[in-house]
Amino acid sequence: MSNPDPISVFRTEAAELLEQIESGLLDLTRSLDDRDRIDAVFRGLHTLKGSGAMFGFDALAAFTHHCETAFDRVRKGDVPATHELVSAVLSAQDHMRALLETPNGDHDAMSATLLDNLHRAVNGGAGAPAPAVAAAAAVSAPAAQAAGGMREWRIRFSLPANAMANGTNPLGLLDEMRDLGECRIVADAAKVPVLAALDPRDIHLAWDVTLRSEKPRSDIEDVFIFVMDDMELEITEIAVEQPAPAPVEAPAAKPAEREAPAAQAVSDSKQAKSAENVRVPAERLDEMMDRVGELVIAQSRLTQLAGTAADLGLRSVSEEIERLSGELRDTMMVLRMMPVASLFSRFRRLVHDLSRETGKEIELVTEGESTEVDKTVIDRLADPLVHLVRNSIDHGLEKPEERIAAGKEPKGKVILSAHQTGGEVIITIKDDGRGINRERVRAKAEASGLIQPGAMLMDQELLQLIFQPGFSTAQTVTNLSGRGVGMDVVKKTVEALRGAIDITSKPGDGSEVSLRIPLTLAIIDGLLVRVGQGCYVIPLSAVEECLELSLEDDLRSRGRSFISLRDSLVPFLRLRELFRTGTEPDPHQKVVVISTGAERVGLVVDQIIGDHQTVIKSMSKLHHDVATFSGATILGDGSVALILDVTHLVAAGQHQEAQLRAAG
Amino acid sequence: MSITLPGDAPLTLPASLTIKNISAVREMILDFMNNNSTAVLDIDEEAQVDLSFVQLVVSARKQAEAGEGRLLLARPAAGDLYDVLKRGGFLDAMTPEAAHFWLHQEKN
Repeated sequence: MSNPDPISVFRTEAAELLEQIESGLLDLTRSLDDRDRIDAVFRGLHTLKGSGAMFGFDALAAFTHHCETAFDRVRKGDVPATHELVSAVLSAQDHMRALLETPNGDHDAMSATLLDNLHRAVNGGAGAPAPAVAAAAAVSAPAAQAAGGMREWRIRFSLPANAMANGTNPLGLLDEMRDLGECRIVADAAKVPVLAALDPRDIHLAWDVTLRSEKPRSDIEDVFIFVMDDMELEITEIAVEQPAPAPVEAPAAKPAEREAPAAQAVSDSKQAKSAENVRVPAERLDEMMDRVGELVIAQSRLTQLAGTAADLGLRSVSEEIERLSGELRDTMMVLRMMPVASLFSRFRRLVHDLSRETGKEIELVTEGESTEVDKTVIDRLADPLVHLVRNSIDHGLEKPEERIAAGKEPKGKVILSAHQTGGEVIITIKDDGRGINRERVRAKAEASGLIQPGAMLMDQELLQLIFQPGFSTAQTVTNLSGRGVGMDVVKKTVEALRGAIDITSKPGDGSEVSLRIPLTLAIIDGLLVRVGQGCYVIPLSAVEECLELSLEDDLRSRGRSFISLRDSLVPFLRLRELFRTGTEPDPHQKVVVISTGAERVGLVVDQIIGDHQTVIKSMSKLHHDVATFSGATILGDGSVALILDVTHLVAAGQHQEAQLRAAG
Repeated sequence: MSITLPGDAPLTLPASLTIKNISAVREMILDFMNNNSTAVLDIDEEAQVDLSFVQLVVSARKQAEAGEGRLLLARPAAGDLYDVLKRGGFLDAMTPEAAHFWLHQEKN
């Protein structure tokens, strides 16, 4: 078994730490005097500094030290938390990312600028003291808080197993204890295993400390503030008159509890949380998903063989394997799922920065953050969502004075929400801004030749023009949006994920963009159908119902291509004609009604074969642009079936309906 | 002060003995102990040491004792190693055996 590269592990954990710090800072902007959040940010900065130094990221450690010092001063009440300070540390935190990614880069000039901003923020713009002065001021504060009178403490502690690997230096903690007063420290090695059983990155040592100090208990607890949650800590005050506990003779001996009855013993012991999570590289999950896919295909073949054989034993085994592979597939899917919270969290920072840049007051509301999506979807959706949120803020939301004049709250709202319906996740970006100016969209589209002047367009068609390449209605180009690149890329990205994008907008009330994305990109439940001689898969999540198309109905519908379904007309497409199979229609054709949201369309097929676990394979480069199909799959007999692109087919059906209606 | 070493050559440890490479150091010592009933560790006075290494040596001592082998230091702890022992609370209340092992002090 190979151990992971410690530097690589540190980078990953530091990136997570930076996210936590950012989240804490953004929370702080809402309540600047929130003590818990101030402590959390301070702890994060301290851990980052310590672990950075331990793993040789000296520039990162040195830079982070200044931010930590600033927050230490806030924590101790020397300076107030202000929006300026939070913004300065947020900017500094971006720089920390750069120092993490390119530790040997030339960062000196940027470091100096950011530190100057930081010191101005700490000192209320009254000039920047030297960092050493700030640090000294931070350290001097607690001395004044001594409770008075010499007391004796017994402190026993052990650290979480991964403390050293996470950057905590136990020697630093012991040094801090010594700073509190006269100290006797005895290491306890009883729990250190033999070398063959030792994970050397874990810490198994414990300590027994006798401390004589005038400092209060809170100062002792402060030593452990960064590891308090996961460690075992027992602090016992011993009466001054009492003799110090007997020295620990041997490392193996567990300190006795005999002096406890005379003491005011308050235990702060916290059970170490067991390691419940395992970090697995994403590519291993992808590899495993591929294997599961191959298994599903092999199982499909076995099912087919068993179906044609008279062997009951073989059928029984085949059914068992089908059940097991289905469960394995479901388990594998769950492993790849991540809550969209990880996607949404980054927008808090974006909105914070854009609010400052544009001078607009913005409230970001996130909903449905626990909704889970395939990891690949989350990775690929990040950039499109950034663009959509930027657009909402830049084009949609008005300035405060404009909003007040329109009878709105001065603070604009952007709602980012996610929810699951069937096999899809709907992610919505909604704002309460001015809405899309249709006249401007039309004028721009006409000017750039996207539509003919005066062309009749349905509202949805007009709005969809903003997703055309090179389209932008921004009157001035800003660094937020309005360069005419982006919205077409957003649409392409969403469609590459087999998703669709809808937009609605009401003048004066705001706009809403909805992304409909399949839950997974790897294996889906499909409905296997035959058209002519070929087999095709329709994603089962899109199927509403199946009907028989009698010969009479077929003949009657010629030229109209509509069926009446519970008093509503549903357009349908004859796949045999669409795919030009050149075969005669089956006498008992079927209509599979599919839908995307509110839109429905029927697909006429020759035969419905049944449900099919569909392992999605990408189309070859040659067929990549064929819009009717979103992929292919391998059937049990080794033949290939194409997977229908539901969104495209529904759009084609709706277009056909619109044409027929226009023709009267 | 130095001790009389057995015939076999000591294991010369690298200059960095910290958590960054502690897994590799463990493999090195474990391998050496498996091939030598008396294992002598040569730690340079200038070596960079942290607590993970001291814990590793404590663990190796336990393994040697459990397997009736011997683990020795080629020279008394000095430099970083001594500093870590002191700061880590290994010198207060040190047993005679530990003092002999780490500091080469004679057992009374």
